[in-house]
Order: sequence, then structure tokens, then C-alpha cells
Amino acid sequence: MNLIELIWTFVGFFLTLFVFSYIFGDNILFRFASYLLVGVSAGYLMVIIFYKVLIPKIVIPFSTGSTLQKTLVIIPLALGTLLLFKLSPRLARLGNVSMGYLVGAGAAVLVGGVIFGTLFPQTGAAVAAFGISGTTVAPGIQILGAAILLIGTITSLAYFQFGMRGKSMDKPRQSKLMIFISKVGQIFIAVTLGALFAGAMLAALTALIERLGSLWTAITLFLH
Amino acid sequence: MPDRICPFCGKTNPEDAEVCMHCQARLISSSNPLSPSSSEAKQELSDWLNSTREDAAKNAGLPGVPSQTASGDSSQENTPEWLARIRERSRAEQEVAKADNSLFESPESPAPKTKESHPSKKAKAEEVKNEKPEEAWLEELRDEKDTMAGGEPGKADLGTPDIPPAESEDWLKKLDGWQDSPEAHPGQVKDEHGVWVKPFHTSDLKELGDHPELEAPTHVPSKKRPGKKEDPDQSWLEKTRQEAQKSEPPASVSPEEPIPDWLEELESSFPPPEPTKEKGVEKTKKGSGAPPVKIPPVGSIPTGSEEMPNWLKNIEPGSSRKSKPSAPAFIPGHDVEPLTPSQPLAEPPKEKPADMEGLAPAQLPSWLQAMRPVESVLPENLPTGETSGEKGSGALAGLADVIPIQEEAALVSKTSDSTPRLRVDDRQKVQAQLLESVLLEGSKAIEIPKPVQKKGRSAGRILVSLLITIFLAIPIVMGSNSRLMPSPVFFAPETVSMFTAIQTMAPNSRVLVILDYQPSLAGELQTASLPVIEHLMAQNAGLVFISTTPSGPILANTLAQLAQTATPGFDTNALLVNLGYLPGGAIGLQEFAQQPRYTSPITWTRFDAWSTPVLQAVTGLKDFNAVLILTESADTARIWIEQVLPTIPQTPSYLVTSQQSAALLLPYYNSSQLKGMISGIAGSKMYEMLLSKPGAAQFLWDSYQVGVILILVVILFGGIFSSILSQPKMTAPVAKDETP
Repeated sequence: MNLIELIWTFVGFFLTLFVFSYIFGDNILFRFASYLLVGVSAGYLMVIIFYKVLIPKIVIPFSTGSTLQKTLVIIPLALGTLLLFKLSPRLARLGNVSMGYLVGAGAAVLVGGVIFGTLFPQTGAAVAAFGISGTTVAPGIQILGAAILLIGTITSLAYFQFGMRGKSMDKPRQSKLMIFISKVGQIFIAVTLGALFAGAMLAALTALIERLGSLWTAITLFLH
Repeated sequence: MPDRICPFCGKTNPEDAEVCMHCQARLISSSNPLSPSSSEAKQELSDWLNSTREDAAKNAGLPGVPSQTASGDSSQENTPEWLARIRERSRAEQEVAKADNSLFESPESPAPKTKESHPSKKAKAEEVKNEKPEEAWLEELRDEKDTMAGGEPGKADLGTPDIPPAESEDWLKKLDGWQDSPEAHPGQVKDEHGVWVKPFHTSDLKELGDHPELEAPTHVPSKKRPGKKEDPDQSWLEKTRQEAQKSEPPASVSPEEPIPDWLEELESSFPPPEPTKEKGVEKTKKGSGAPPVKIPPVGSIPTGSEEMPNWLKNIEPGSSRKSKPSAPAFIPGHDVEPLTPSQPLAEPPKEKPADMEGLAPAQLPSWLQAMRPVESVLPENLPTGETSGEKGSGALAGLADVIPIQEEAALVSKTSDSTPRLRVDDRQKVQAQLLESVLLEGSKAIEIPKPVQKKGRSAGRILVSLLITIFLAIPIVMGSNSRLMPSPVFFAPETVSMFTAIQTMAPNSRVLVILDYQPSLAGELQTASLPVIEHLMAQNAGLVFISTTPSGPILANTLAQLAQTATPGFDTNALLVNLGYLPGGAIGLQEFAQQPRYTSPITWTRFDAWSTPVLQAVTGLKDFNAVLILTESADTARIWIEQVLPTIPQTPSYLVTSQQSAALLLPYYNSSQLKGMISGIAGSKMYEMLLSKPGAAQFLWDSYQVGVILILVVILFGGIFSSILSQPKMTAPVAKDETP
């Protein structure tokens, strides 16, 4: 390990201790580490955008590109310039064109990806789970697993179904079957949220352990 | 008479002259009624004189005078007693005044006084004095007025027998003009003033006999302090007396000249004051002969020295300034200064007369003070044009600031008693205070209280944190060879699939590595993805890194460097390309999937990316042998899966993710959209075990297992402890509800 790596190792060591000082409450060391992270990230982001977006997407096509490339560059340049008017409350509406383009194009792309990348494949997978051919597990277990998956999917969707019917004089109420299905779906949702919470806890625990390991590594380097 | 005679200098002027050619005084027009017989003069009779007429009418038994108790006013029951009295007396006075006006009817032109008439009037006055001593001085005064107005010959007259007829005529004319002028009557200067003055002429004067401290103003000082704020009811008689003194002809009355007989008689009728209260009252009651009433009538005041009432006995020269108005007596004093046209009457004397010194100021009793609504009636600011300007009519025509009554009245300010006060009860006060407090609170900035940190809670948090830290640090300090916790015996199928796919990957394959995790979770993701990258390097696969997060390129370099240390035979210059940051989010991914050369033309180090050995033969994503996604976010992974993977259905895709997103991304493996998946340290530990190459996951595995057990213990005991602490709080309200 060279000197630069050693220096950065100890910088990381002390910054980690500053963040850990939050155990004793909010203090200046924790704030210093937090503000340093925000400041360095913002500066780094600015450099990245300049070198990875503006220069290759705007400067180089204008300087070395063909006429067509230069003409095409005007469109994103104009939209980007209009987007800057969002900084002024009086002229913010000039940036609505750029925002409209971004939101519209982004929504269209996302919707198409969700339909063809998640909805159809996941629906097909839920149906294919009942196929027992080509599986290495026992058919009964495969069917049981597929059934639980199907029940969980249906009941979870039913939990978010709030429509109800009623006579003109009566208060609209859900049917008892629908209420039962919603209760079952609520159980599946609770198990799912518990699993997500446990995963978040394990991720935080892993991050803590990794930091403790880095601290120990720095200490051993300092001791040796 | 074709020419006009100046009332001041007595010289003739042309008929159309308005100002005297000799003394520059304003001439009185012919239409100006100097005679008391005119209708306007009748209407402007002073209230105090009306009151005296009322009393006289009562004593004389005139019909039509309503009694004090007989009142047809229906609103009398609702009005206060004092106000009812005032209204009643005012009404009676008006009726009496109407009745008496007929008595004051006289020929249009005042007849010159003859010497024959004076002895008869004087004898009549003496007779009246002897017969009715109780109303002598008022009758005399009334008769004097009648005489001056050229009244009935039968009335007694205190006239001036020693004054020559011409002089007396001139003097009387001016006096009549003064009486007819608005300035001469304090009760007619302002109606508000007369409202309260009227009842005093009758009833209050009667009560003066019971209150000797209220001295009657019999002596009017000739000098007066200008600008001094005086009570208007206190000195209205003074003012009238002063104005009368000033309006007298200079040639007729002078202190140096001998006093006429009628004046001597009048002065002799006022004996020296005797401050004996009880005696005066008894004598007054005895002299009146009336039934025993509390307030003797005014007419019962004797004129003789032995029957003089107390207030009249206590009369001292110059004592009227501080006294309250009691009797409307007009007595020419000794200090009457001669009125000359050249004398500036606008400036009243400033020095206080010597005879006023040493006198204690009289104070009104409470009952009389309560009957004085003058402060509430008089306006605060009266027009002062008349005061500062010249008089347009009357004996003072052409003279300025002779009677500053309006100026003094303007100085009278409202007292706090007359101001309207809002009557509120306690409830309304409370509501007003609440409203005020609400308004004040609305204008104040809301102070956000600082969260109070309990020492016990802070200590508990520190204790738990230190406990977890110590327990997690122990395995790390002991090293990876401690084997405190057992290794997993069950391998996840997604991990096995991934290992199998990479293990069977052909040499020199091109793998697109999408590194999209944040630095905050780099510890987990780096540990989880490191064995996979090492495995790929071991397979001599060409690695092309790209990231949609700005920090991704740096993390990619770090990951590659760590993996290269484990696989020293991997040629990073030939087989490793870092395309860097890919902007645009989902749209950028869509574009990158369609035309990667155009989207990411250069490397992280700004070289031509597509001229490197790894990317020379690549025209699209389909030319990559595998796609490896490294992300801790389920959303990021889903976007890559949704936007890019459908374009390369034949290319196997693998995922290394965090433990927190594994549950959300596992269905993509189950749907065969992903061929392999590693989640967290556990998946990495499995992969290392499959590789038979312990790495960073093995270094952290023991601590990870200890941490999981510790979290379970903390959750378990924390739940139990919390339920114990919350138990009394839950049962307390129930017990309270059960008790009636």
C-alpha cells in the first residue's frame, strides 16, 4: 500500500468515526462528515456532467460534427436553455416545454418497459409455475408453491380493491367474500413488508460490518 | 327719525350709515329691536328671569301654571328624577313665560321715564317689600326690568329718580339692548347652557337657603382674568353682571359720582353676611309662612337684614367668582367702570380684584353636582367667531370681545362621566380577553420546541449501539479463520445458476457490467459482487463497465482494482473498459440499447471506447455474451430489466443486488428474465464457497451472523420490555371508566 492509499485509508477511517459519533447525538463531527459528503458529491456531479454530457453531446458535435449533427444539437441545446428558466419564478413557464418533453418521453418509455418487461413476463411466470414438466422438485411441492403464489397475488390485489356496491337506501358495503379475500391479502402484504424490512436491516448491518472491517484494517495498517 | 343716533357717542349719523362716523361703532339698524316689546325680545328673555316669573306666578296664583307634580309626560316614569324635574320645570317656565310676556307688553317705543312715575314705582316697591318680604329682591329686580322696558305703570320700580331723564333714557336703552342681545343672557347664548340653568332659577335657589356655603354672587368683580377656565355655571351671573357694567353709559354711572338713591336703597337692603346656617334656615321658613317643606321657595328670601337668608348674609364683595350660580341678581357694583367708546373692551382685566383674595372657593354639594349635565351637554369646541368678532346687535354692537362667553364655554371639556362607556359583563370581558389573546398569538411566530432528549433514552441508545458494535467487532478482530459461525449448507438456486453460467462461459467473452449502486451501500454490493468479478476475470472475460449513476465509474474502477488483486493474471488494459456515466435514465438506457456506440462514444478516461480490443467487434448489445447488473436499488434493476433486457432476449443476464432488494427482484429470476442472482453477503458467501475461494464475504460472515442474532434478540427483548412498560397505561383508563 503506497502513501496515497494509506492517507485515504485514514481519511476514510476518521470520517467513519465522525459518522459513528452520531451515536452520542447530533454533533459537529457528524455534521462535518455529512456536509463534506454533500459538497463533494455536488462538485463531483458537476465535473461528471461537464465532461460526460456537455462536451461529448454539445461541444464536440458543434466543433467537429457535420451540418446535420450541428443542426440536431440545436434541439437539445434549446430545450436545455429553456429548462434554465425554471430558476426564475417569473419565467419558469418557459421551461415547461422542456419539462413536458422530459415527462412525456420518460413516461412513455417507462410504460412500455413496464408492460413488456414486467407485466407480461410476470403474468406468464405465475401461470408457468403450475407447469410440472421440466422441474427438479416434486410435482406436489411445485403445485403447492404455485398455488400459494397465485393466492398471494390475487388476495394482495383484492386488498387494494376498494369498490363496493349497495342498494339505494343502504350504505355501500363490501361483500363478505371480498372482505375475507382482502384479509388474506393483508397477510401476504404484511409478510412481504416484513421481508423487505428484514432485508433493509440486513443491508444496514452489512454496511456497518463492512465499515468496522475497514476500521480494523486501518488500525492494523497503522499498527504495522 | 331720518338720522341714526350712535348708541355710544350719541351723535347723529346718516340714515344709511352702518358705522358711526364719529366713534366708528357699528350702528344698530332700525329693524334691530331694542325694545323689549318686540317679539324677538320676548323670545330671548333669559331663563333665570323666566324662573323668577314662574315663582312670582306661583305666588300670585296665576292660572295655567302647572304644578310640579302634575305632569302628563308619559316618559317621566322612565326618566331619572332629576331629569324629570328639569323637564317639568322647563315646561312650566315656558308656559309662565308665555303668560308673563303679556305682562311685559309695552308700547313699541320705550316711553321716556317721567319723574312722576318713579315715586309711584318706588312706593310700590317699598310696599312689595313690606308685604312680601320673601320675594322682595326678586320682585324688585323684575320690576326694575319692567321699568327699564317701559312696562306697566303699576309695577314697582327701583328706578333712578336722581338720574336725569335724558341720561336715564339713554342708559336704559343700552341696558335694554344688552338684555335683548344674546350675549346678555347666559341662558340664551347657548341652548345647552340654558337647559341646566333654567331649573336652578327656581328650585336650586330655594335650596340655597339650606346650603349657606353656596354664596350668592352679589358682588361682581370688575376685573377678570382672561383665558382662565371657569365653570360656565359658576360665573354666568358674573359675566352678565360684568357685561351690564361695561354696557352702562359712562356718563351716567361712575364710581366717582354720587350714588343714586335707588342704588343706595338697594345696597342697604343687603346686610353684612352672617354665616349662621341654622338661623338663616329657620328664619327663612318662618318668614315664608309656607308649610314645612325642605326647600324654601325663592320668594321666601327676606330682604330685610333681620330676615336675610344665610347665602345672602354671607355675600361678600368679590366672592362670586368661586361661587356657584344661585340668584340671578343684577346689582350694579361699585367697581363698574365707565363705558366709553374709545375704551377697548375686548381685553378684559387680567388682575384679580383684591376683594376676591382670601375667600375660600365654594364647592357644590354632590346633589347639585349630579344635577349639572353641563359638561355632557356643552360641545367641546364652540364657534368663536362671535367671541373674537364684533357684536352685530344689541348694546354691544360694534364692540369686539366684550362677552367672551363662547370662548370660555369652548374651554369646557367633557368630563369622563359624560363619555359613553361600554357596559360589559364578566363573560364578555373573558371573551374579549380570549379574542385579544388569539389575535396576539396569531401575530407571534410559532416557536418550535426543541425535542427534549431524555437522559435515560439517550443512555439506552448509546448502550445498545456500543453493545452491537462490540459484538460485531469481536469476530472481525478475531479474523476470518475464527469460524465462529457455521457456513451455509443450503445454496440458493439463483446463486448456483449464476455460478454455473459464468463457469461455463466461453473464454474471451464480453460481459457488460452495469454498476449502479450508491457509495453508501458499496460495502455490501462490493463484497457481494467481488467474487463474481473475480470469477469473470478468472475466465478472461472482457469486462465493459457502464453506470447510470455519477459515482458509478469510480466505484467500477475500485471494484476492478480489488478484483484484479485477487486475479493478477487479468489484463485490465486489454480486457477492461469503463464507459463511465450514462445520462438520461430510462431514456438513456433505451438509447444505449439501440445504439451503444453513439450513446457512449468515449471511455471514462476519454479515449475512444469502441476502438479498444473488447469493443472493436461490438455493434450492439446483442454482441455481448452476458449482462451483469450490480445495483442495490430494485427500481434501477427493474429499469434495466425492462428497458434493455427485452432488446437482447438471447443474452443471459445476471444480477447482484443488496439484501434489501432481493425480495423484490427475485420474481425476475423466477420468471427466467434473470439467469442468476446474488443477494447480499449471504449470496456472496455462497458464491465464494462455490468458488472455493474465501474472500471478503468470509471475512465478514461471522460478524454478519452475530449481527443477525443480535438484532433478533434486541427485537425480542425490546418488544417484551415495551409491552411491559405500556401495560399500566393501557389498563389505567379502563379502571377509571369502571368506577362511577
